[in-house]
Amino acid sequence: MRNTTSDARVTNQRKRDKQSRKLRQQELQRENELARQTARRKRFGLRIGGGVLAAVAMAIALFLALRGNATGVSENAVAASLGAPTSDIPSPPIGAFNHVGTLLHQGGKPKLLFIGAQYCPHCAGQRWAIVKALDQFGTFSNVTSSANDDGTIPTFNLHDASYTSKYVAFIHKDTEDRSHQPLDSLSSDQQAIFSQLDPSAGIPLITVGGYTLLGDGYDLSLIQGKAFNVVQHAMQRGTRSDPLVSAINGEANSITAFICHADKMQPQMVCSRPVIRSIVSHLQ
Amino acid sequence: MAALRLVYRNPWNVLLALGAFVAMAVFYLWSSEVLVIGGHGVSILVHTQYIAAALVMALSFGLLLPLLVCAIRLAAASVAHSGGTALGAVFGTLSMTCCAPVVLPAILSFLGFSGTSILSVNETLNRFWLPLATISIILLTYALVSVVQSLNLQCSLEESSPDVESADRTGGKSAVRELASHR
Repeated sequence: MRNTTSDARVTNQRKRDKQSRKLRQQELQRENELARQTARRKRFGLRIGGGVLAAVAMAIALFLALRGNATGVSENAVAASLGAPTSDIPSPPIGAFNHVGTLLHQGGKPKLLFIGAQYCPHCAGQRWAIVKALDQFGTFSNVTSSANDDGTIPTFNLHDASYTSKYVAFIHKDTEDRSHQPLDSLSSDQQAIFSQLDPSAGIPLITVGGYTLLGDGYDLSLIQGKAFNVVQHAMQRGTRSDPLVSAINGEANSITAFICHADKMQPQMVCSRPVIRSIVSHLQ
Repeated sequence: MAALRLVYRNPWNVLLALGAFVAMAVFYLWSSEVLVIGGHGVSILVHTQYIAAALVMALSFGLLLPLLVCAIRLAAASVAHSGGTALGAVFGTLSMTCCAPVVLPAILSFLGFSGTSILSVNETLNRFWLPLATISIILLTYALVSVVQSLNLQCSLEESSPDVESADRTGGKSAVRELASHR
């Protein structure tokens, strides 16, 4: 009798335990479901809020991109003169140029071709050396200073400038302005040269006398943040202790040597300078 | 926030985040030519907008990577999380172009595009760098927030589970133990 009562108690206890486990599991499932629902609600709210924020951010970014950044730009007419020639030689003597062997001519004269853009800071840095070199072979007119805005690098604006020389032809192409609006288009010949010499399509491309420069000819951190007038005055004074002046003059001498080399060392007044002869002696 | 605390309690995850941040920041600054490595050595062009965008994108990516790794180990990461992260990094790379981009031209020239057509693509990308960078930041932020949410949910489910081992069935035993050991 006692055993029967005991068995019944155990059975009841087991039933209660089973029910209790079942209830706990149900409770856990409810909690899990609740947690999932809360997370789902949160995620939904986040998506709506995030979507609105993202749309606003995109609209602002697109507006800024399409508006451009050319507002308030002022350009002044300047002289192309950058001081007397110096004896600076880059190391190696051809600087950052590479020998490509493609000699460009126009009207019987060697041609210097520059392809860049006005938004490009690396292009802005190279115009100083080009102007300094070409100023010895001919005359620039209608040169203006670009606003100190070509990617934080002061530079010349050569878009409306003209250049006359008996010794060298100069083609300057800025494909886009500072606001990324189309500026100069390339002729089919220029497109072919660009594709041949610059297959990765980086700018600037400077090619003259069988030598080509892609990118920077010197360290642009030397020039960034300086005003146009400050750089021009330093160049005109020829301050040799100024590393920027030496760097620009060194690159200008390399370009001068390429032109002299391609032009049978004409004119003598420019090409007979010891520094130019020294660089030419390293050319192929 | 619990997931962030748990994941970043592990010093290896902090190291991974730091490494990813530095690597992505250097990559973005290099591909946008803010960081210039040339014959003259290494120099930095101070382009405030580019530097700010590159740092924000790199920071989001660095913060996200350890969380994503943890979520993958716990099988709590979805395709949207991984895809959002990858797309965010791709848009970030596309936005960080200047005058001689490194990634896209290689692909385009491999596909046979001419130099001038690649230049035109480069210039278009550069023109729309701000919207592209914004898309990248939005995608990375979305991935970051949703991974944190998934990890939080995973943690709360495991806390309410009868035992930790049952969560192992979803995969990532060690990750579960790692999270459980921090509780």
